[in-house]
Amino acid sequence: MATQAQVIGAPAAPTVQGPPRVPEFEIVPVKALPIIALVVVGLIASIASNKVWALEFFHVVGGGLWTGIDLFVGLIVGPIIGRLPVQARIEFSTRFMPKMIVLMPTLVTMTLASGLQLARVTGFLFVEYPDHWWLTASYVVVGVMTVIALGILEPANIAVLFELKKARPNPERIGKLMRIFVYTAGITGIMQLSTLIIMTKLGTW
Amino acid sequence: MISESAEHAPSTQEEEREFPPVQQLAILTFILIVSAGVFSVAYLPDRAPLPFPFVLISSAYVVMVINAILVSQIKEFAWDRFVQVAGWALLAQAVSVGMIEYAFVVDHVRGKLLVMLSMGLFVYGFNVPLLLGFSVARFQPPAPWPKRSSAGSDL
Repeated sequence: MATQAQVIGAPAAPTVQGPPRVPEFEIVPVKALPIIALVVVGLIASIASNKVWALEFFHVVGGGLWTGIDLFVGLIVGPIIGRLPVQARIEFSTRFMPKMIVLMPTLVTMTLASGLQLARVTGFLFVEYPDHWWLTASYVVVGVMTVIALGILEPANIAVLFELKKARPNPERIGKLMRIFVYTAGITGIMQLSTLIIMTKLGTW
Repeated sequence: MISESAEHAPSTQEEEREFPPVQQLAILTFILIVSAGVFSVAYLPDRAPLPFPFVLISSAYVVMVINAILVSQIKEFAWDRFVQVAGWALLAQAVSVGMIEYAFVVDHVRGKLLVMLSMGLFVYGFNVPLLLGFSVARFQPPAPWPKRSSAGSDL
């Protein structure tokens, strides 16, 4: 989620003359909604059935993609896009960010909902302290990431897309919102690394 | 006739506007809710004492209501965009919150604990649309509250 930030918000790249052209785009890609509905139904079924395989599937797939996308786009794709001309960044962002709006919340919901249920079914949730500190640490990490994502990243993301929809988008405002992205992206990226450490530790119990 | 550069020049009017600290209060609401959740779950396998998380969630309620009042008092606001974004976000939140509530019920969470968690989910469910609606509308040209569902074309 963090990583869309670096698409436009990175340090200034060579600029083009004249106003940038913003291509037509959908803020919410409607075609993706049936797929998301399918995922939600599958997730509910896995929670209702308490089948460990299904819960593990949703947790591992969702968590792996969530962490992987955050790290990959934040550390690899983001800096590359940051060096592109403004027009190229806009072209990329108008295609990329709407997809992230539907993809990341779905992955987060998949991961957290199935994770909590999985921990309950497998008994991880009920381990005693001091081992329980690992779980508590994961709650804190997820909690902080949730506050950052819902409180800062997502609002800025959506505000930028609506700004780009205007007949006269304000580049200064877009840059400002994207800088917010860049800083918060760094924080969530680091926190994703701590999630990896915690989860691999839990996996070896 | 408007030249191309003038056409694309951003409006500076919106830039100068000041708004109440809606985003800050919304983040504070999130922090209170998340803290209550982490505190409660950290006690497992024992049951967490309820008073402290209850105070946190009640505080979140108060902050959210104050925030909603602050938003409602804004004059010259893009209410059409606010309703559009907050409405869709509310729908998405209803799905998310409904699923979490369902998980609680399936897991036999009952009594005061269920009431407390449901209260927390309710705040979470309303805080996100409030924040997203405000975040978009603050940068849009002012418009009245939509009478019909005419603001959905951009989505």
